[in-house]
Order: sequence, then C-alpha cells, then structure tokens
Amino acid sequence: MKIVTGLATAQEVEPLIEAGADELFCGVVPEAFVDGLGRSRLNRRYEPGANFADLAELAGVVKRAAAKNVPVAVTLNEHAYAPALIPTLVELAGTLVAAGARALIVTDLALILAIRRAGIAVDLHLSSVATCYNSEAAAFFADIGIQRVILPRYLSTRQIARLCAAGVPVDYEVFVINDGCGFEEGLCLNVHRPFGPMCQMDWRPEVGPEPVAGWEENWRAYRHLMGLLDHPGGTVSPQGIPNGPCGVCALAGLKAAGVGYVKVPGREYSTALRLGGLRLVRTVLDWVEGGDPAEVVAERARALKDTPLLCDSTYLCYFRDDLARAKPGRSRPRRVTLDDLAAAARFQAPARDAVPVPDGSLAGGAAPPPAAAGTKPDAGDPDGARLLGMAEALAGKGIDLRWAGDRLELVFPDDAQPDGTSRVTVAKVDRAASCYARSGNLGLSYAGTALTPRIARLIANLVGWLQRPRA
Amino acid sequence: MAAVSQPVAGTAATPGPEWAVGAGVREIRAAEAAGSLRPVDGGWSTTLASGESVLFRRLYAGAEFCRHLIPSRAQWTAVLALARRRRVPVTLRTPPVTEEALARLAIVLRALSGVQGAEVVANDWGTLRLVHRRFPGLRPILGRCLRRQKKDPRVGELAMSGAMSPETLDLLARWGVDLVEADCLPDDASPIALALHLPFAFVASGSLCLLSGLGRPVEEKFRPDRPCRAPCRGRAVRLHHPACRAPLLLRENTFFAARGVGGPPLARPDVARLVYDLDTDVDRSFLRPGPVGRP
Repeated sequence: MKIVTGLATAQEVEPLIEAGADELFCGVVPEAFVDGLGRSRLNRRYEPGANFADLAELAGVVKRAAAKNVPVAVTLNEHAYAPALIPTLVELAGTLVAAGARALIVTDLALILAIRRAGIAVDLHLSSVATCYNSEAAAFFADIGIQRVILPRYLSTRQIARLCAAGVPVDYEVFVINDGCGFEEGLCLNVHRPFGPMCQMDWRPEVGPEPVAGWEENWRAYRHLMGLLDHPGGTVSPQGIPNGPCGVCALAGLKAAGVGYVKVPGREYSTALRLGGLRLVRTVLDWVEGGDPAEVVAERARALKDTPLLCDSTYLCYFRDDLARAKPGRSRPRRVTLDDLAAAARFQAPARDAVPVPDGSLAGGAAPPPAAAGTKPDAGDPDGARLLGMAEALAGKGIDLRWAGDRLELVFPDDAQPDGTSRVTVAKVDRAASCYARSGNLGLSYAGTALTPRIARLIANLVGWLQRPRA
Repeated sequence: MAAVSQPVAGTAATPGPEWAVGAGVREIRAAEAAGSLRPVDGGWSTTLASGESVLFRRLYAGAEFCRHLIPSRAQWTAVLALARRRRVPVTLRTPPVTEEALARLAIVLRALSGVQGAEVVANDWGTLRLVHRRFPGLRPILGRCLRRQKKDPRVGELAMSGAMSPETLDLLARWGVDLVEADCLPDDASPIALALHLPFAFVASGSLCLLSGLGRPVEEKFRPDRPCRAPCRGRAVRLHHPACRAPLLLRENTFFAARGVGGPPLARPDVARLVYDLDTDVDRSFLRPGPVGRP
C-alpha cells in the first residue's frame, strides 16, 4: 500500500518524501492559461498557493522527486470543462507529460477521451470527483483508458472490499485524512467561490406544517457534522496531527480489501498540516504492514492522535463502519450526545495565536511588525496594495469589508434582514483560506497568499484604515 | 376556467416536447385524489399554475439520487401496474449505486426488461454499462448526475450549462444514448436531444443525508453504510438564507433550487422532453389545484 500526498510548493518535495510519501500529486495553473479559462477552473483546488503557476517549476519538482523514485501526478479534475477548452487542455496535458508528470488525475469524460485519442502516453487516474462507486463503473472507465480509480469519500470498507473483489483491472486509491465534503464532491455542483460551500451556510430550516419527531436534535447534529467537516481544515492538534476527517483506523481493513493507494490530500492547507497527516498515515501503515492485528493498530492510532474528543464523536471518521476496530471488545461505538459534538466543535476552534501556520518562507516572507490600526496599508507590499484596491472598490459599491475577530466579512445591504445587512465570510484565520471578494458579481478579486497571521494583520490594519474617522 | 381554453402541450395537435411526470404510485394517487392530475386515455392531464394545460404521456418512477430508495420488486410491480392501467410507458430513474445497490438495481432492471417503451435513466456509469451489456432492450438515458452542470442559486445565472464535447457524444452514441437529462439548457442548441427537469434543478447531493438521521441515536446518524428506513418519504424541508432569493428544497439526500416552469426556452427544438418532478414538488406548488378541464 502506497501513500499519495498533495504537493503545494517546491520546498515541500524533500520533506514530504522523507516523511513517507511514495507518490506526490499537484496542480499546475500556468499564468498564460488563466485568461483563456473563462469561468472554468483547471482543477478542484482554487486556493492561491495550492497550484504551481510555472511549468518550469513543475519540471524541477518532478526531477527532484524522480531522484528519489517518487512519481508526480498532476490534477486536471474539474467536474467538466467547456468543450471549446478541450483541445487546449489536451495540449496542456502533453506539456505536463513532457515536463515529467507520470500521471494525470482527471474527471471529465470528454478530457479523458480526448487525451486517449491524442495518444498521449500517460497514466490516467480517475478523480474522486467522477464518483466511481462500483465495479461496472470501474470497468467503464478502464475500457476508456483509466489505470487507477480514486474512490469517492464515504464508501464503507465493506463496500470498497466488494468493489475491489470484482477484479476490474484498475488500482484503487482512497482518502484517509484531511478533506471532508458535506455532500459528494462530484455531485455538489454549486460554486464554492466566492460564496463559500453551500453545506456550510447558516440555513434556517422550515419543516412542517406538522411537527417532525426528533427534528431539533437531528438538525443540530447535522450542523455539528457540517461544522466538524469544515472547521478542522487548516488546524492541527497539539501533537501536530490534522484535526479533520480521518480514516487511519481502517488502514488494515483497506489493505485487506485490496486498496493499493491511500491519499493524503490538502494542497490548500499548510505544509505543516500535510506533514502531520502524512507522518500519522506512514506510522500507522507501517504497523499494518508489519503485521500488527487490525484492532491493535486502530487502538494505537487513536492513542497516537490523542484527540479522543474528536475520535469519539465519530463524525470525522471516513469509515464509520470500521469503528468497532477502534474499540476492542465493543460491537458498537459508544453513545454520543449533542454535547459531545458541541465539545468536539469547540475543540476545532483554538485561539488564533495557537493556530500553527507555515513558517515565513512559505507564507511569502517574514511577518512584519504589527502596524498601528488606522495606518494606510503599505502600497509597496504587494498583498497590502491588492487588499487596499479591493476594499476601496467594494466600499464604492456600498459593501463593507469588516474584520470580525477571526474572520473577514463582506457586509452588504439586505432589506430582508432585521438589521438590514447580510454577511458573507470570505476568509477565516483558522484555516489556510485565501482572501477573495465577490469577484463573480463585482469583477474584483484578491488572489493573495494563504491567510497567515501576516495577512491577517494586513487585513486588520486595512479595515482599521477604512474605518478611520473621515473629514 | 382559463386553463381549459389553453392549448395542450405535448400532444399531436401541438407538436413540442413530450411531457412526463416523475412520481411514485403514492404521489400519483394523491395527485389524482386532489384533482391535480386527471387520468385520461394514455396519461394524465393537468394545468400548470401558469395556466398552461399539459398532458403527461410518460411516467418516471424510481429513485434518482438515493440508492436506499431503489424500489423493491413489489414496489416496482405496483408502478408497472399503474402504468399499464393508465396506458403510459415507464422510465426507471436510477441513482448513483454502490456494488450492493447495483445488484439490487439489477433485479428491478430484469423486471423492466421486456416492457414495451421502457427506459432507464442512468445516474451512474456502471448502470449505463450494465444496461448496455445485460438489458439491451431498455433505452438508456444519461441522467443529471452524470451531466456535471454547474448551478448555484446564489449566482444570477448558472456558471456552466454543460455543453457536451464531440468525443462524449460519440461515446454516448456507442452506448446507445440518444437522450440526455438536464437541469438547465446550454447556451447553444444541443446536438443531442435533452430531457429538461421541472420545476426544480438539483444543486447538490451526497451520502451524508440530513433526513436519514431522523429517529436514530446521535452516534448512528448520517451513516451512509447503514440501511435506511427512508424517513424522508413524503417529507421536504425548505432551507432559507438571505443569499438565496428563494428557499432551497431538501428532498431525500438532495438540495434543489426552484427553476419554475414555462418560458421561452422550453420551446427549443433540442428539448425533446419535459419531466415534471411531481414527487419533488411535494406540495404541487407549480400545478393549479383542484379539478382541471378535459383537454
């Protein structure tokens, strides 16, 4: 069983390999390509810093990884592309392969067919976004030239075992840490940017007209589930292990099922987070491959994570059918209450200063000393200048940009609300999100560095300046 | 009543898209009892809230999004009996399926094979392959889940309308697909016939189902690996948020956004069929209530 890890920057190649990555995957969005994309994206990770912008940089990364016998795959896995883009994408695929990419991670049937028709000699890995759930589907994709199927989240180990047992000539890869999804990523067709994931919105449900037994508890549990899937992103435990979704307890079961590859994704998150996740997976996998019994492995994995509050909630487990392994002697997970979920959710929100972030080199430079509130951001700082331009343009459209402690909000008029305003959170400091504005509607965007304390300070300073007393 | 004098869409007298109604036996019976659907020879007539009279000439039944709702053999037998009684052909809607669900689905497909005019909406490439291999007499239709149209009720217009490439069309032709389901129409005329769903577009679906948690202890809620007693049946939740002008509708494991019915796009020549999802529109909000006039 091999570990496939997301790669976001060139500096990460050796650390990730030394921590146990057998394969790497990354995104490449060449600058020259962006204008031609229109409303399309090249892959499923849009966050600034999640993709390489330079093919030469990719070639360098591939060469360094190859020196350690580690192949690199590149993602071209958006749900679907406009047909007019396909010839350009095929050309890009050829360029990526020429730069050394060993495989391409793909979703769109049109692109798969076009790459094969073009005769590009490269392995194709079917992205989880393609939602291949069964052996007939795997055979369908094998017939058109797929070598590996990355399974969607939330298949159980039992379902995966049945799928693998069907004997379709493809390899299987599964998520084991980091990335959750409130829906099924391949079937979630809303636009995450700039409005945020729909599953994370603060909905007001209307049921009835008759009361529904147990509704309130169910709704609260569901909101906790969605919150847990979202908030851990970008945070790690005191042990340096990611707090997000996890399936390491099931590694033994997955290996026995016939899964050949496990994924440590999270290009949108910090290096520290991926390294922490990778080390956990490597350690547990070594136990599995050393022949330790599955139940022992699961129990030791829980102990290694040392976040019983999260593990016991069960809501962060990719493979909830495999939970019994983590509780030797128990056939069912222990009883969980809403209070347990609430406590788990609180665990996900450490104090801002405690949030581990990449060091200065990864954040784009050492953090500057805090500026006095109300001081105009330094136009010589590229991030400060871009934020300043965005905020001024927003203000001109009657939209406020506000810093609310741990998050950046856009506040805009909305007559339907009691206070006459609606808010959209555009960035939170507890995850390595980018800052962005309602670019779709306003033609504005800020595509800056991931949200580090340095950027947070710039934003806080900017908002202070915007709110300064004016003559 | 103004509706009586309206032309009836979907009839030989008024060439245009064929109308189909998506519903289970229970919903059809309820709509008939309420007068929203009136049985006629070869289907049901109804009047849309817009005043347009419509003749539904095909029945869509089965589950489109949730594998736990694949009909049992008995349920499917009831659907076929209803279709025979109303003299309408049937289309089996199928969801994305796991290995185990595909095996259950094969039983229903077997019951459907040999039924004249029967079709299968495949929302899983595995289903499409299975139908092609083992049930060649069934007409396969490419479902909405396989046509990745970006759609977001928070955006004024849809981000991508899901045009299909020549390569994809070639492949579909090889698999015997000549009709594709859609929630919204591509900007340009589609080279393949479309079946457009009304009055809701699905925007997100998944395995972590809110409604499945009803009646379960907290630790057992939202587990996709567990059998489901389908507490979602007959139930819908409206979800309100200021970012959405109209509430979203949660049915089964899927979020829907209202797209309404009617309007000029429906008259496009590439729209071969309009599918009114009556079982999604739980309160029949887009149908005129009460008895309708005979066309």
